[in-house]
Amino acid sequence: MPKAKITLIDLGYGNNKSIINALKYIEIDTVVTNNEKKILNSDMLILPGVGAFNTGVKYLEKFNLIETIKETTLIKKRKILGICLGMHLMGKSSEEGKKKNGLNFFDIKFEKFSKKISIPHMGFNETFSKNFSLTRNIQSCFFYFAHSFKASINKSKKYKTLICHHGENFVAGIEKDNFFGVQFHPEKSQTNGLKILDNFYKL
Amino acid sequence: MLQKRIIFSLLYKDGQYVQSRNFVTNSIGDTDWIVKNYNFENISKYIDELIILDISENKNMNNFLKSVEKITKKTFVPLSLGGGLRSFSRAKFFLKNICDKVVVNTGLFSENLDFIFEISDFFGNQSIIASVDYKNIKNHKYIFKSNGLIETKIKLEVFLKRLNQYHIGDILVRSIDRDGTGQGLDSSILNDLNFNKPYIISGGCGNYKHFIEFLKNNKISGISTSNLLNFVGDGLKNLRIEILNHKINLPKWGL
Repeated sequence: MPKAKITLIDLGYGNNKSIINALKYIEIDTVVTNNEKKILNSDMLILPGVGAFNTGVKYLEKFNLIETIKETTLIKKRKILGICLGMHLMGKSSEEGKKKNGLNFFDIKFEKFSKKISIPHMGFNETFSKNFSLTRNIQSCFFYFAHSFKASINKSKKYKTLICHHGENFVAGIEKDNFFGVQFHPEKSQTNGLKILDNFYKL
Repeated sequence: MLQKRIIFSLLYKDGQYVQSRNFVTNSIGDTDWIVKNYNFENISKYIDELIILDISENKNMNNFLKSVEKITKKTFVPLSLGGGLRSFSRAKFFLKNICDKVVVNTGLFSENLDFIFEISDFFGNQSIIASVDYKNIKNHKYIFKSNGLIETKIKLEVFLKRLNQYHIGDILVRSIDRDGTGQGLDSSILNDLNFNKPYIISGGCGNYKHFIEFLKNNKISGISTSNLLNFVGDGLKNLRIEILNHKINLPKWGL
């Protein structure tokens, strides 16, 4: 059997180079595409994303990828990892763009941080979990964050989560079956981040 | 809790990487030298962020991008690029291609600041680092632009107040007097950092004590050093270990 590849979904407006470099560094072959057929036939998916929630959904629609991603993950049961906005896109909705809905893999909403704390939450921060699969074998779980919207812990209790604190506890990582999301940027989080990608690949 | 940052800044000038002292530069080596002889892949494991500034007089964005690509191929930290940035199109070129943030310095003094709003609108406030350089003149701090060559006659404290209204993320404050001297950071700067912004200070770091003294201060989010030669070999590694030994919140990762 040929070695499994990661298919990186290219929404066409963000910078994918760092993720590609990171996967290459840990010797994982990567296909970068927004082609429906290639995505349907993939081994596993990474959904990256920068910018606003509405923009992300708009580009998913533009390339006709909503149903494609759903079929690949819900029916064909391929693994998917959403990174930063990619994780938001896997949720139900976001205050950042009220007119659009996400892929709804996780029954969570993304909201603004409370006003008392400095936003965006930007920089390395520590995370905690008892059961999150992707942080396995990482000793000190520090990762690089850059975001203004977050999912609350209390509405995510039915999922395995990774927790971070910035003024309040929020979801830094979430998982259910073959669905994974991380709020931080593994490709910008030194060896800790590389390990996240490697764990996802090997799960 | 958000962690403090050690930021490494590289200065690129006409295909060469340069060392700066009081904003006067000396060439150190080209891109390949930095990658190979300076062993950048290893050095980057001990920093929290990387800034690369193009200070060439005649800028060639594609050559600069190629050099940055080579240098950062095996580095996995947030990357910021800058140098002569005063348009949305140039910022977009860098942010779409390779980096997480752009550094705006002289551009902050443009008559038309629409490009800053355009960048923050498209990429978010966090994607902009506002950078100001100052000199102490008769007990006051004055801002200089264009690589420290042109005096703006604007007082630093006045401008930092103004910056508080802008749609930006980090604020990088560099002392031209201390730049490259290794004499330590300018402690008088602390009086001027009065807003709830992530301030990065730079200019004068020569040893780990200089970092520790300032990283302990609540006002300081990070310290930037561009002293290539002081931190050659195991310099950055030892620096990080010392800072961690002093119980300062720096992120930890496997090495």
